[in-house]
Amino acid sequence: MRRSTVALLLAPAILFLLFGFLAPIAVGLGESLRAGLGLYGKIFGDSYYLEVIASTLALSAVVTLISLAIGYPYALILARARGWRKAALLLLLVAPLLVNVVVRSFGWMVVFGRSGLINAVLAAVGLPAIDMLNSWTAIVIALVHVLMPFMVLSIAATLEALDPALEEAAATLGARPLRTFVHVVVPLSLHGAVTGSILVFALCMGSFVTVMMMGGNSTMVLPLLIYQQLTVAGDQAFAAALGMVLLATVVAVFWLQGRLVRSMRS
Amino acid sequence: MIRGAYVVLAGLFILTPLMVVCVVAFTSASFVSFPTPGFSLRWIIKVLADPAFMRPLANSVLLGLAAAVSAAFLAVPAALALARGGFRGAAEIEAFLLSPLSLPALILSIALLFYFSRLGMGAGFIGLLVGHTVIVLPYMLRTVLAVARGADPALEEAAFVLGADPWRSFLHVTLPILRPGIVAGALFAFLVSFDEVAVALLMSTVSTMTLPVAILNHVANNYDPAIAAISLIKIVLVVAVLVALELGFGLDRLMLSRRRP
Amino acid sequence: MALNRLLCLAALIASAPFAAAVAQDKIVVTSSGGVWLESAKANFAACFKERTGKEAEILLSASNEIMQKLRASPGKPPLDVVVLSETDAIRAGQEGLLEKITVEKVPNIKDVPEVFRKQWNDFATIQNFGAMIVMVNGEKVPNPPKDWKTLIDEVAAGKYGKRVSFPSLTMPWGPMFTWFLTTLYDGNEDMVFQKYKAMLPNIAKYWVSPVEALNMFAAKEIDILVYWDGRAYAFAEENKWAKAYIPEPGAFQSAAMLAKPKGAPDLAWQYVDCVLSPKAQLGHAQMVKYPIVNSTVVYPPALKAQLTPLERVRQPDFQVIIQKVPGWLDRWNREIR
Repeated sequence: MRRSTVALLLAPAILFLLFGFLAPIAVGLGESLRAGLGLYGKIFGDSYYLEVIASTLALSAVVTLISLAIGYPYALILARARGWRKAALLLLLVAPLLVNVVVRSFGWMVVFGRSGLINAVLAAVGLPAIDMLNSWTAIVIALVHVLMPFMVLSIAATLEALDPALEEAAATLGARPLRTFVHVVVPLSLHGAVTGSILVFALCMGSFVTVMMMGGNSTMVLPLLIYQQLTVAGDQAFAAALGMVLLATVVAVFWLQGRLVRSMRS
Repeated sequence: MIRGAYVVLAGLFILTPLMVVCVVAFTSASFVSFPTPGFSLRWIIKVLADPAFMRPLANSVLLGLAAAVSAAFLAVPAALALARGGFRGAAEIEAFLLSPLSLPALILSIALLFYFSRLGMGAGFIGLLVGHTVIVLPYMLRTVLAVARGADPALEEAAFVLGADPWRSFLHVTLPILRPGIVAGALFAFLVSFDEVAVALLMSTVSTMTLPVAILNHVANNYDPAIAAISLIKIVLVVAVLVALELGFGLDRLMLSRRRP
Repeated sequence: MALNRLLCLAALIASAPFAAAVAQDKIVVTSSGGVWLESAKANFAACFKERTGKEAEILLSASNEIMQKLRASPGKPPLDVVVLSETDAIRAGQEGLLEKITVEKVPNIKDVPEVFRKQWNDFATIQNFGAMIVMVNGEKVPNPPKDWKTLIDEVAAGKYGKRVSFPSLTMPWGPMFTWFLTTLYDGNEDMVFQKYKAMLPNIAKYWVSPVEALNMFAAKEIDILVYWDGRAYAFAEENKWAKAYIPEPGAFQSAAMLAKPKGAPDLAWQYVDCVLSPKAQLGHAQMVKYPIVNSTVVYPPALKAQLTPLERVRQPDFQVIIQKVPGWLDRWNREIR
């Protein structure tokens, strides 16, 4: 591809983000940032904020890994399904995204609650009740539930682009299904898994409504701190500083992941 | 066998909390409660007849489609360049194009509001569309990129060697190959825009208010089963769209690469 | 041809903001959603239409977003009449974003007692108020404690198990509730934080969003909930197992603040006057079940029984609260977990 073609293809997206993303951040947040450079010292010099950053990262990592583990088989089944079955699987997948978070969390409460469905089943088989509501566990389950579509569809898209002739060729050459899967399907769907992980991770790092509704008194994440600063304290500068820290953290994770994938490939 | 068991379990996981919502949508009570004291259509009818929900619903559909289309026009060429380019700085440009993913929408929305006021533009559809396109662009870029990187560049080269001009080879060879990525990206773009609330809160006007904003403002002061009803209506709407797509085009043709036999 | 059409579209889009500025046949006001929106339409906008023949378009918007919009374009507000939270109204007044309400511009303000506007220097007035009271599951807690201090100590002692929810300091009215608790403990903040901490093991969750609180109560995950009076009474009316009451010595007053942003047209004063007019005020109280501020209004007895009387509420000292919030928030995040 010629250099001029590359430039021409990239120009619209880059220009759009310059005017629609970078410029607003520079203009809108410039002042609050200038007013608050010392705020970064406050954030990084305080073990409380570092702890919150760490738990935000940990939560996102756990949700991403679980989504990948549960989502990969779903993507395989979705990519191979045809016709109405595909439509049904697709609908099932995206349904959580269509239900407002407030009522969705009520649904979980009915499922997880002390007098909820899970505990009713446990009681019926004579097991002790468990208290899952308002905990990290509840947050993780609710986030996997709603973010899984991003994982599954990313993987399914690469699988759907996969040439079935490849698998058939492997089979004709005598490869057993498992070998075909490990050596042909998995490597080719790697890009999809990486994409899905990036999307789920980033969405997780930014989500606070689910954390707020499903979490308890001790479950704090960075975006929730930002939300507090905006709605309760009315401190825009500190909110902006926390936002920049979140942005930098996620970009750093992306960069690390990019290096990891590249070194894995070579 | 294993596959069947997996689908049943995954289905249970996804559907159990949602079934509760669907039941609540048909409650006869004025408050969200479960089990419901009785059944009625009052909340479904109320929402369907209420312009305070239906106008925002239409706005949200329009905005989601517009954002998906804008993102596609910006992201597909960029993804092609990034997948095939192999030029210096490609990794950095990719990181830049993905960076809107990592800025909290709360912060972006305030920045956009001040930016547009500085430019003398108020809140409105343009502001909403710009904000949402910024937010959904990375999804489109990432899914198209994943497919483009997995695809075989030899095919396009073959078309090129066979004498097709670049535009025709793009239209008849590249685009069909990228289709699963574009469809997945468009789906994400639509769903993300359809559910986005932070930018929409600050950019909405009376006539351009989106559904998530209407719902948020509704629940902030009244917590009634209308929210369950509107969620159910959204699901039914998507079912209708899926059925229409399957009957009109065939989902297989939309979602798969055309290289299949 | 296509280019022509494109240019036309571009011109249309470019001229849209100007068109809106020229046409002065409507104003934009804010309201909360649901029954509040219905009341704003039926009582306030209807009165405005009757008086001026013009439309008042209602934008659903919360205080925090309104503040952002006013700050983004000072002097040229995109909203003509706004409803703010108490602290945001004080901040907006101090930042010069609001215009003072006077008897010349808003005649009905003469019937609004000074207590409803004094803290805001007349930059805003309360349009209706409520209180945070206690909801209980009457089947589980038939005889709830009569006063706040006993309630707090019994919760801390575990009398009700882990089936209680109080508002978190991190919700928008959390600082006001915390201020109210300090008045119960002779202004001793440390004592209040000790009580918060002592209750923690027996609190299912300090609620942040009003809907999660009602979710927990409706799903019977909790038996005691500190919640808004209007919605508590409405819930108890429909669900016989639920009861709502005001513990001694009363509750703190929480209010919706009405204001006109600086730079909004004078026409907007007519809407402000409409909101404060006796007829619209009574209609509003009947629809939203919260007490209103026009002193000439006489409630029908049935309605009066449902409204928290003014004598039972204490108005927080908002200047103090605004200064305290950042420190309290920080302390809450670190200690109460």
